[in-house]
Amino acid sequence: MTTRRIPPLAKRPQGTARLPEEYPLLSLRTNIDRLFDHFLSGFDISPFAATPSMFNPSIDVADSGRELRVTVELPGMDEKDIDVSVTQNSLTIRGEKKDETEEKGNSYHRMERVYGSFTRTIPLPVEVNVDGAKANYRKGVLSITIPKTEKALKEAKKIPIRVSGK
Amino acid sequence: MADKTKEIQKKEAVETDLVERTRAGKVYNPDVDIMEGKDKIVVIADMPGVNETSVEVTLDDNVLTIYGKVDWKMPEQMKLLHAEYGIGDFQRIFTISGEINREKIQARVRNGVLRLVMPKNDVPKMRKIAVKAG
Repeated sequence: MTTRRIPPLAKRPQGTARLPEEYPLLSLRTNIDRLFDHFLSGFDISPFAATPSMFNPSIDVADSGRELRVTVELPGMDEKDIDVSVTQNSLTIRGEKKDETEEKGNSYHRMERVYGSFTRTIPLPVEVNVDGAKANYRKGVLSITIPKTEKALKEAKKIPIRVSGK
Repeated sequence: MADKTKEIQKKEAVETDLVERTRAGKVYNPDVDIMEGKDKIVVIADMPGVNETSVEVTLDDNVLTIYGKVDWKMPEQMKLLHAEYGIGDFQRIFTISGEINREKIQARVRNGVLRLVMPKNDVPKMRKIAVKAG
């Protein structure tokens, strides 16, 4: 994880902050940081980021009003290797993507796909009906639909605003 | 955190001047494994959302193109709360060498993974020639 330094503001209110020239070392450091950020910005790498080989599938969450729909990109898995569990306010997806290549001992020219086990837990924005959850794995995409509870639906009721004091 | 998510995100395909796209939407580069054995080269591509009817593999001269069409529309009443992956088609272009037997390339899709098996041409085995004393 990299922490990005917030660049100093170009304009400061008069008299509140000192000019960078008063801190020559700090200003040098900021300049060097900026130089590095600029240098690396053109490449698709970040030297201090977590290892890219970790399998961490991407998740989309959508809301249809009555239910939540979660889709996960999981290419090349068996449905029996995926484990989905849901509680009233969170959803956990576990699984293991196995390396199923039969060609052992071959030489690799490229190895971009990632394998391994993963666990992702996402908090759900509303209370859900755990019993009504359904999961479906098709074409390498896992989609889960979870209905909201009646209570959650009621709570999300729009409140009309009345005009008064006329 | 932002950097970590960046690593797992799909890479958007680089526009090439050679082909002009006729369909709107984004195109991503699928992650691939390429392995070479004694008699074949195997290409495996992760293309979630693609099945055997929506994937196209074409071989034009020595340019092998894999293209996967992802048909996904957000149902109208749905709104996205959280998005980590972009939705779009997959495309990747390779140049293959002359040692591949073009007639026997096989493609198979299962669970969003395309597997291409490209057998190599039969290369005449090296033969030792006995030298006789004359």
